[in-house]
Amino acid sequence: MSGRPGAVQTGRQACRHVIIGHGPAGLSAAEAIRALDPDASITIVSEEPYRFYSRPGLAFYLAKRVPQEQLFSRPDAYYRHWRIDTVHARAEGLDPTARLVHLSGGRRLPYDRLLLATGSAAALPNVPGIDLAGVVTLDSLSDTRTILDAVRQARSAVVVGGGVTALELIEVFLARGLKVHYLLRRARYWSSVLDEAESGLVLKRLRDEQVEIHTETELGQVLGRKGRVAGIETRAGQRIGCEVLGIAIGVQPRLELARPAGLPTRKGVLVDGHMRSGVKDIFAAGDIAEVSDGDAPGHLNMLWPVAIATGRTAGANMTCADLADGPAAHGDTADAPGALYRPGTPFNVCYLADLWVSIAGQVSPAGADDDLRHAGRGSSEAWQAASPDGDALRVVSGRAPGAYQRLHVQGNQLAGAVIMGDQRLATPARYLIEQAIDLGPVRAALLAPGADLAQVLLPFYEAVRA
Amino acid sequence: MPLLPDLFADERERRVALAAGQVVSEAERCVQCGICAYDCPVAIDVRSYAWRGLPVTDGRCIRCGECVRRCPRGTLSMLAADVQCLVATPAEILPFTPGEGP
Repeated sequence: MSGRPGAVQTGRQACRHVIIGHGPAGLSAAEAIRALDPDASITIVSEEPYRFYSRPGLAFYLAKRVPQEQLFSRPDAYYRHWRIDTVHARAEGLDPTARLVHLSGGRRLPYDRLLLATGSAAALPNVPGIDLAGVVTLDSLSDTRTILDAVRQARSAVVVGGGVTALELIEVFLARGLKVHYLLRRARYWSSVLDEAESGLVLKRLRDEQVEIHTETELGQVLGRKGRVAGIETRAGQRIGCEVLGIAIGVQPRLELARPAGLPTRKGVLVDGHMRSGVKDIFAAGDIAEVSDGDAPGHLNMLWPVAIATGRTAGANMTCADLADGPAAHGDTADAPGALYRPGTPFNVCYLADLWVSIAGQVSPAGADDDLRHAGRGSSEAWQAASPDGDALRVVSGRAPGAYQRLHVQGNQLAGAVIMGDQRLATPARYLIEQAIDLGPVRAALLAPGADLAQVLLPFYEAVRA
Repeated sequence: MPLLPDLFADERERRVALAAGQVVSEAERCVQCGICAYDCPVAIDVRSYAWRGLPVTDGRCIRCGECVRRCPRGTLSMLAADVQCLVATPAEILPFTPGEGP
């Protein structure tokens, strides 16, 4: 764009950075911008009236493990000190030509560089009665109010869905003293990530906590009384009485700003390794970003560390005039200046039915999960990525007291790991996957029948690190 | 336009912390839920260290290990007294506490 002063480079006029979304991606971007440019103007727009809070912590708050105030890590003084302005408004539209964000209430916010970090929202199944009061999801702090209101008078709850969030809802309802029914469309829990034995371990623990598990059962409709949930009816016609229905069938990237503004999208907003979208001066990070090189489809990563890493990358590059002045050049970013996001090994650790579970790398063949109709919060599509051609995948499982481990060995390398219970193998396995370490002599020992995986891998890891 | 520093290279901006008998953190596991800080008997904001992957260097720390035990994601561990720990502190992560140098 000619005629505009180069806002970043003059040092006179502060470059206006606008960030939409106040989650880990948005805040990490703001931090990176401030660290690199002391003069930049930074504004975070959020439809929620709060400072940054821990979304993964919401379930801990609801399960009474931590008070609500504790979810807020940054005091007001943090925002003042680092001069990060916050605007409480809903962003309703973008005008990339005029470089404006249209806010609720008719306000218009001008920007020089814009970051979309709008995150994702829980999907709802398309069944009758889904709009009744008492149908709850777990995305935000305001959802926790809805949940607390719903459980107050309730005696039983039904949970539908899979992945991390379904288990969080179950734990919350148990902690609040409710009888819990869990509906699974097939026989397994989280079948896109966990194998049969792992799924069985989680389900056994849920049964031990008196959760009633209904396998091969699908939600047909929600039954109501005076506008509130009174029960559900399954597709097979069985009725279960409940006052709360928890839904966790996955989340969808919030693209309602990006699409009308003409940003190229597939599953998410398409970005290059610099987190640039296809439209000049607009970046995307976090759940909505689909990092793609060229025509190959990227993966959605609904993961906290990915949100932070992509947010930092976007923020660093938003302060870089050379990068911000052009749209994404898909497929040719390796030599460009600026910070480059490296996808690394998708990783998460979750707490499922009182069991620590770490998941890293490629852990499952491509396959559908009938309970999750969209990407699950706390999961990565890359976990299901097809293995590259060549060496066949060998899967080994190990059991030890308090531990269940699964390792995917491809060629001479570790490709993926699921570590349940005892977590001593979690960090070593992730390191070996991430660094593509040649397993060399221990490969045969790992693949030997009945191998003690920890006993083989831990000394090897120590030796590699030394 | 000079190249931006590669902020995300593993070996850059590393420094050796003498983490003798200290609580160390693995930033990638931390989701900032605050349980560590809430359960700390001397009210150290443990999670601000975890956000940056730093060892807890606050002089008030009594090494009770409560934060290590309570963390629901295995972010924290107690390092033995004679172990040295390499800590990555990328420059673009701001401290929570105003006035504290990055």
